[in-house]
Amino acid sequence: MIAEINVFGVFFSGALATACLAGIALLVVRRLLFRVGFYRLVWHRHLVDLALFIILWAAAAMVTPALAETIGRMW
Amino acid sequence: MRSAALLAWGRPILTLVLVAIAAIASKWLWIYYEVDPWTRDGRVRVDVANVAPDVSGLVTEVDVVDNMPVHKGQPLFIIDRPRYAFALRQVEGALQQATAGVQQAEAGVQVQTPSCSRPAGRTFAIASSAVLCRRKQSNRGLRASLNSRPPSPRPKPP
Repeated sequence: MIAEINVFGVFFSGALATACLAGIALLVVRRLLFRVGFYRLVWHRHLVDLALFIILWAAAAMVTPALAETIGRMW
Repeated sequence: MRSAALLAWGRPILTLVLVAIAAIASKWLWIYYEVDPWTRDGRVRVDVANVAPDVSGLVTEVDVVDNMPVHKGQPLFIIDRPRYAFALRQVEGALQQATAGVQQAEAGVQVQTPSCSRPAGRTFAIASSAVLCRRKQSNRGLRASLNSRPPSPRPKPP
């Protein structure tokens, strides 16, 4: 788990960072789903958006440690 | 008509499935970020496991390195193999000697308690057992002849 992220001496929570990543990913995913027409098949758009955001957040939290380790090894 | 019904039920179901997955994900996130312990500047200071062998001696070979994961039953180091191998050979030699002694003693027992009809394994055993048998039989015959005689002063043994 990445607990904190050092941005020029200011420590931010790792959860915040992964949430930001998830938000950016959600923008992309939403645009794709709009194009595909997925939102016509759902009940409450914003509920689905929220669910997608949480799923992406968890995915980002799962992926970032391995990603950071890989990047750290490359450095 | 059927597709309309599918849409009417499919919309809530799809949404609720996504919400259920999100609920599981949010629980995992909560555990991951709030429940699991974490530390900013933790240090592991003592992480040394003392191991002691059952026997004493010089360590001739170490099969592990630092921070290496090991499993149950894995040899960590080897203690003085040549010396213990030598000791084993010595003990085996003593065992052989003792076994030979037992065999010898058994042969002696055969010689001491012969039976006339018993086939003995060795020629000297046959010979000596035959001699002993004969002697025993002659003793028995003598005793029988003594017993059959009327009571008399006890005869001197041969």
